Amino acid sequence: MKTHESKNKLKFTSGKEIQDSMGHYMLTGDTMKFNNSKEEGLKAYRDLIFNNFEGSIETAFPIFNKILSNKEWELVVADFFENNKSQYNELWKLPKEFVEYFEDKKYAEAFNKPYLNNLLSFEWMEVEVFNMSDVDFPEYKKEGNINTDVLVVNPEYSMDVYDYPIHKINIEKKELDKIQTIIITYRNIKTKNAEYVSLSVLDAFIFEQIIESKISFNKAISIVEKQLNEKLPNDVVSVSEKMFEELLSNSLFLGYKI
Amino acid sequence: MVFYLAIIIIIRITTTITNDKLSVNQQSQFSEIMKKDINIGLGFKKEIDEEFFSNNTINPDFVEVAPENWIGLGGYWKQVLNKVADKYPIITHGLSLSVGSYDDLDIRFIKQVKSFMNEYDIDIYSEHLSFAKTNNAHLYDLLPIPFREDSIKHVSERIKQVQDIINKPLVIENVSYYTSVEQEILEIDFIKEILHQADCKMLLDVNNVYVNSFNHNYDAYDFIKKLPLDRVEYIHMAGHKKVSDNLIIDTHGESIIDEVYKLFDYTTSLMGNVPVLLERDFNFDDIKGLQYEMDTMREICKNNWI
Ligand SMILES: [Fe+2]
Repeated sequence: MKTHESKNKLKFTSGKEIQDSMGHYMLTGDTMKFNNSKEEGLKAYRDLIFNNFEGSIETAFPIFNKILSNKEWELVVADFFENNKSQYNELWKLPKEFVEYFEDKKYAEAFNKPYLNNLLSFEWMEVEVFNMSDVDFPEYKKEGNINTDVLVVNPEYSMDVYDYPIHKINIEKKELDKIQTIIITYRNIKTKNAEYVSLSVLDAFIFEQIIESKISFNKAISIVEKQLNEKLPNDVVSVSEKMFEELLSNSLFLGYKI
Repeated sequence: MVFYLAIIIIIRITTTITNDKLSVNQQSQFSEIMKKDINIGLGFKKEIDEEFFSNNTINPDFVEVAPENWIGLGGYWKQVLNKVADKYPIITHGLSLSVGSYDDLDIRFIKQVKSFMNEYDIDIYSEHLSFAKTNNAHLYDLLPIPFREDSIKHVSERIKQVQDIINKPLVIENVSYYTSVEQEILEIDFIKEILHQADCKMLLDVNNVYVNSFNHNYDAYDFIKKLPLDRVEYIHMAGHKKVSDNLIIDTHGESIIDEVYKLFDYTTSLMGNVPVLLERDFNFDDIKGLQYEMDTMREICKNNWI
């Protein structure tokens, strides 16, 4: 193993300077000449740190990872590694900064895959909801009538609006038409897994009425009708009703108010 | 390795033990629940979480968790952590405190660790004698602090600052390192002086001493002998990987080698009874192998401590 000779070495006056230079080398690979240091050892650290960064991103974004070509992946991961000022103590949260970085640097446009920002947010939301701190559940009963009883929502959810139907992404096709899409990601109360459901605009509107006004499905429908100033066709209402029954059985709704 | 226990006796005879066993009168931070005759623990890993509750393959006396991987989590992992706390005494072993950094200490984070410890009735917070942050950015790895006088003063002050917040001694681990940088003083003097100035406890990683003695060409036994062993709160053991003729990486992914057991035997012969923890971060195919390693360490401890 080669030990650096003194001729090319930098002159350091403090431990801080040395550590800052070490950190700079780790992230950029810019050649650094330290006294009494071993090149192989420095390189080993740089590799270990890079693997930690890349591994955390790969774990959080498995679909994104498959959509990108190797070249695209290497380019963006290397750029992020070198330039992101990582603020989280927790390595598992690092991918959240990657989502912001990717969007800021306009990589989706550069890779000609404009849905990629949405894809990262969507995949991150699964991680975030799975890990989110427990929220106290309100009291509720299992038995009730969806039409007349007040629905109690599972508070462990996030409702997000995307520009693309991102949940339909196909890793072979790698294309999506731009259609505004509403997705609720929630933590299943039994399995504790993060699950998602895509809602129509009407269902999302009904959902919001139920959350805000703490009302039954039927009440929510009548509010919607009042706002639209017209009666919803019966078949439309019954499709929504089925949807909300499903949300009940999937535990996005816990049950009914006591 | 299968014959390891049989050859302990031979090692005993061939290893010259010059120190008398320390009469340890340490004020241990461990709660009474940890006071079995011998306490052998295992790092709790999400990859093998179910094994810790099966009762069949592994039976550690206590576990260690990285607070960064658990603080603030709800859902599945919160349920698991509650189960862990019901079954095992827990130690927190941090990764991101970065006592060696020149960036400000993350006081908010230290307070989070403190309340995490309160919530789970944890007595010990150990961290690495290293830095993991520079230029206001986390690096997510443990880099060696330059062994210099100014570093000693700086690090000791920071350890004291942490101790003031958590209101108990911080337990500082000797780290493995793959290069020294701008070294001015010996590693052993660096460690000893920080432990003394900060008046903190030590987590002695025996495998790290072995790895460093190989990477930096010194005598591991002599190094152990010179440490203030009365400050050791608990011990780490682990496997490593030789990646070239000159470099061993502290992977925590392999089995412990006989040379490290031998050094562990020597170390435990010099000091009083403390808990010992096996670190394994990946390569979990052979779960029985982990229990075998814990059993082997237990036998060595029994020989030296009971
Ligand atoms: Fe360790």
